[in-house]
Amino acid sequence: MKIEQFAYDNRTVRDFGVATMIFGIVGMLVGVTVAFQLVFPALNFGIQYTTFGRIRPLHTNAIIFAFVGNAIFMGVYYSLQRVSRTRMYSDTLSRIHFWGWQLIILSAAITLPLGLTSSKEYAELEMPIDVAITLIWVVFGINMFGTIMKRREKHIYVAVWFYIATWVTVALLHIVNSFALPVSWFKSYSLYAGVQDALVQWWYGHNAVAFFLTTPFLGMMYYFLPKMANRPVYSYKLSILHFWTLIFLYIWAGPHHLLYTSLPSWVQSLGVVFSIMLIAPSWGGMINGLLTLRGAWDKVRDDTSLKFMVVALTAYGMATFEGPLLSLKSVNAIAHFTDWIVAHVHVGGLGWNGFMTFAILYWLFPRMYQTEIYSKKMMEWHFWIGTLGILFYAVPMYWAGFVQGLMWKEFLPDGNLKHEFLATSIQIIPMYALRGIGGVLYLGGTILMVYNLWQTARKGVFLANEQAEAPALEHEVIHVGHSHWHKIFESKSLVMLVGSLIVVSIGGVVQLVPMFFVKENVEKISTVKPYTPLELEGRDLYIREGCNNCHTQMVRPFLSETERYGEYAKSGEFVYEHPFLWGSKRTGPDLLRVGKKYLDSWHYYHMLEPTSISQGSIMPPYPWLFEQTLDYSLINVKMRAMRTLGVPYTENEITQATENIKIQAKGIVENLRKEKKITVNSNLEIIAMIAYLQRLGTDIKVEKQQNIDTQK
Amino acid sequence: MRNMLKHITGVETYLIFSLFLFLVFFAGMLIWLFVFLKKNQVEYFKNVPFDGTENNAKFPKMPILLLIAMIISPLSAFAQDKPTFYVDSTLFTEWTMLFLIFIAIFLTAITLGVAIQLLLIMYNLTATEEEKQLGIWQVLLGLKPIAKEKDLMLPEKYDGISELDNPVPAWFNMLFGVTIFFAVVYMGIYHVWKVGDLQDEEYVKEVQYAGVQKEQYLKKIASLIDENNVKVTKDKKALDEGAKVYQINCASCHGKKGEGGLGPNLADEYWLHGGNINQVFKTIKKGVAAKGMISWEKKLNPLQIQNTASFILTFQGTNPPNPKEPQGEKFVEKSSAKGNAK
Repeated sequence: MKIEQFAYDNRTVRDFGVATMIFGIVGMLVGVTVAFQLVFPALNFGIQYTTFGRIRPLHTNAIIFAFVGNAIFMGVYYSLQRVSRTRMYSDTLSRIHFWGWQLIILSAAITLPLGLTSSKEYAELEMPIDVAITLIWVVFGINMFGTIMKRREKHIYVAVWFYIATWVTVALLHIVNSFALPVSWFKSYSLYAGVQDALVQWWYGHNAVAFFLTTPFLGMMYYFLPKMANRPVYSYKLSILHFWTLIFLYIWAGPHHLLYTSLPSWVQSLGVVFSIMLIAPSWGGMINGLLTLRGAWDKVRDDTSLKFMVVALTAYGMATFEGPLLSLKSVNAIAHFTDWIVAHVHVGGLGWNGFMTFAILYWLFPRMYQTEIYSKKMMEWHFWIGTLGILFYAVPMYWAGFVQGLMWKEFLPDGNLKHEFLATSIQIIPMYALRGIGGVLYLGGTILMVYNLWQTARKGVFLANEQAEAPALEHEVIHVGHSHWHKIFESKSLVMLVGSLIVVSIGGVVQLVPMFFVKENVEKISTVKPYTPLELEGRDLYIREGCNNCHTQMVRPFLSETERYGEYAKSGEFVYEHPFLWGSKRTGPDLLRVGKKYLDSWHYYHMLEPTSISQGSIMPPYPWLFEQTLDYSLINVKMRAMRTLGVPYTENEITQATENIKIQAKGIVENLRKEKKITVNSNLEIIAMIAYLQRLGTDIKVEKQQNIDTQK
Repeated sequence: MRNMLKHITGVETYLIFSLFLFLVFFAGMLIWLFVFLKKNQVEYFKNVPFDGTENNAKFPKMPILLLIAMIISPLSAFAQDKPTFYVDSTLFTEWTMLFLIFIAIFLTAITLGVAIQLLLIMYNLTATEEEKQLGIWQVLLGLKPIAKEKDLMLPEKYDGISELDNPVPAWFNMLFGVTIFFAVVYMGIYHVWKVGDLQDEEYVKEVQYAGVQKEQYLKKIASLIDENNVKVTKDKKALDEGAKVYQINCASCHGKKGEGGLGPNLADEYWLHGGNINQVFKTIKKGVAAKGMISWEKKLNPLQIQNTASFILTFQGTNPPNPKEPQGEKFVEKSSAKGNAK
């Protein structure tokens, strides 16, 4: 047997590691900023590019795709080479992957504050960036599968199963969810409308959590945890069972983000039961990890990296148990749209993703720089500050969630609601402040780590190419009869790829296909009409400002919501909504039925200075809407695009659009003058915004009376 | 409370769940005691911890058993008193509800702790030699002794990492099985046998229930005040109530002292929609949509509107600073008009 010499590429790993740290700090800094903006709205400094609605997506994108994303690539590039006993397939592809990904992050950091957004959560980036992501993902795929194919190890290790499933599923999710019709370089409309769009979005959104934040980290756990603890993986059989069940079941659970919405009940119920069934497969990863530490718990006491790992696994266990509970409809009825969900995701994000990333960074850097860590004490401090940060973050947010969720639902004996919406949000502002402090602590720990690793790098010598040797892989006939049946998947990466693709596709196909082709799933409402051109422009402003980050447009069928907001949402109302704007968090009240509820002048003053109308409101003012001229040069293109997507605009309506905008705008200006003697130019953005807000949810009001009559 | 509870359908399941845990635990305990435990061990068990034999040393935590009795009593009280959660009472706010849930969870946690202690004791009584070496946790988790690990090691190594051929823990399979069973039953209940209410039916029932509740309440408060029979109240407590409602809901538009703002001045003698109590009551109740005054009928009850309207009339003649210009007609009360005529 010939022994071959080769070298592992550490440079790419190091670069991804450095990017992880930089974007970790940036992402957390933005996070802390948005957290405190909810306490002090003035913290956006009156600048449109730093308002909550625009930089909250910046925070989520920076953390998910820049911090966690780079951490994934760091872990994959390090472990994949070693469990395959080969260098990465192509250094050029590694370089393209690294710099391509950083450029994508940079373009996200520019476009999101500019308000160039698709509004779909965790998929906000616009068309050209979506295409770039796809290309870079393909580069990553070629590099990964090339490496697997030229491996010197007969079988594919469990960590790599998870990497393969990650790659194929993220590709599928990203492409399907990003289908949109562009009207310009940075503006496009989702191919799907209303209920369908919501379902596709949360099929994507939920599985972004599953296949970007979970499976790659499980893969990394399977490499780094046994290495750190120097212990064998507890159970190969458990690995097989929980891997396949996890990827199969996860994909079905998306609809639990849409409980009690207009989504058909059968899809909602599928979301509930598949979430419950996910408990065991999720825990499979946790117990396989914790039991791997069996016999090495004494090391946990001394090795801070292992401490981070243990907390990460525990946080994973908590979050994956809480998730299914939150999917139960009775719990969801209180928790949904509140900060409970924010707490839940941060236990996962700060605990599982953050802490495991820290553990790996602490383990990798001294090794790649051939030295000891600069300061163990600092590392220990980071661990405790970080843990405290998680607690300070999570506990107030849970409390805020319970309190607000219950206050929303509380009635007086006379049948009226007990609390105004504003009162419920003022109630939890102290919790927001505490949460911000938690964030600062966590960020402080991260800064400590970066300093520590920087000093470590300074005193060590970087080993860019780590020499290794291994015997060449001899190709032999696979004897299925003699070995475990699962070795078929472990011998050929293509079998694994196709196998996981089939397994993850089933859930998506069963839920999505009927929604597109069975007409009964969306009711027809004759009074629902497309937006006027001015309202359409207003809606695009609503998307630009990211209003959907704080305001839902989804009145659920609870008395507490129909009393507060009006008739609950019907699926037929959303047939022209490209994209849907249901939102996922109610920091402010629901806006589905806000149309015609207040006067035009109310909206005028409220957008100019929210606290002038609602004392104590934490909504920021939007003065730039009163300065910027509405750019409706694309209105014809937009309406034609909408028509292509199925919105019944007539040719006449499209050609008359500009005229129509002027007429409707004049009407609003006239109203403002009549109501409060406001004189305002009719070409300002605020006019379009008022037009849109006043239209919201009004179509159904015509039919509401008839509906109630027929129900009786 | 009643109104709130019906929105949290299934909130009582937390309590039922803790009770259920109890039942399972005690049923299991009894079965163990009377079916599986050998006779002599029962004798042995009976004696602890109250006798002074050397066996006592093995059960340092036995007094915890006493705790069980203390825990059972409040929890069984929960079971009996369950209907009290549905009794309309101002004592029960959402906070007490939360508190009760936390208590239930807390008690459940203690129970589980006690259960584990008990299991430990039972286990020590029945364990084989090999099991004793492993410890209860390992047996519960289905673990093999670390010493036997070499036999389980799979031949392949990945960058020095090896894997063990341990079986999937039995409890893991059970957990998975239970969740699958739950899923099948859940889908059956809602979509096959259709015995569970889906969200639309749930809503209809909720509206009906609330309607009945409200009707009963309104009957109870008797004074069905409306714009025809409303009276100016001079009762200080009622005026304070009205002031509170005013500051929360009205002050943003009409000013804290009724001086006006977005809405008209309420402290002058000029009224757009009439200035006697009946007219003010009606304006608040029905609103004036065209002028931006919203209807408060659904947010305030008639008594609250009466108090608020009465409070608003106390602004008359106070001349607050920064008044808004007068709007509407000068209002003269008929009775006082007569007085002036004299």
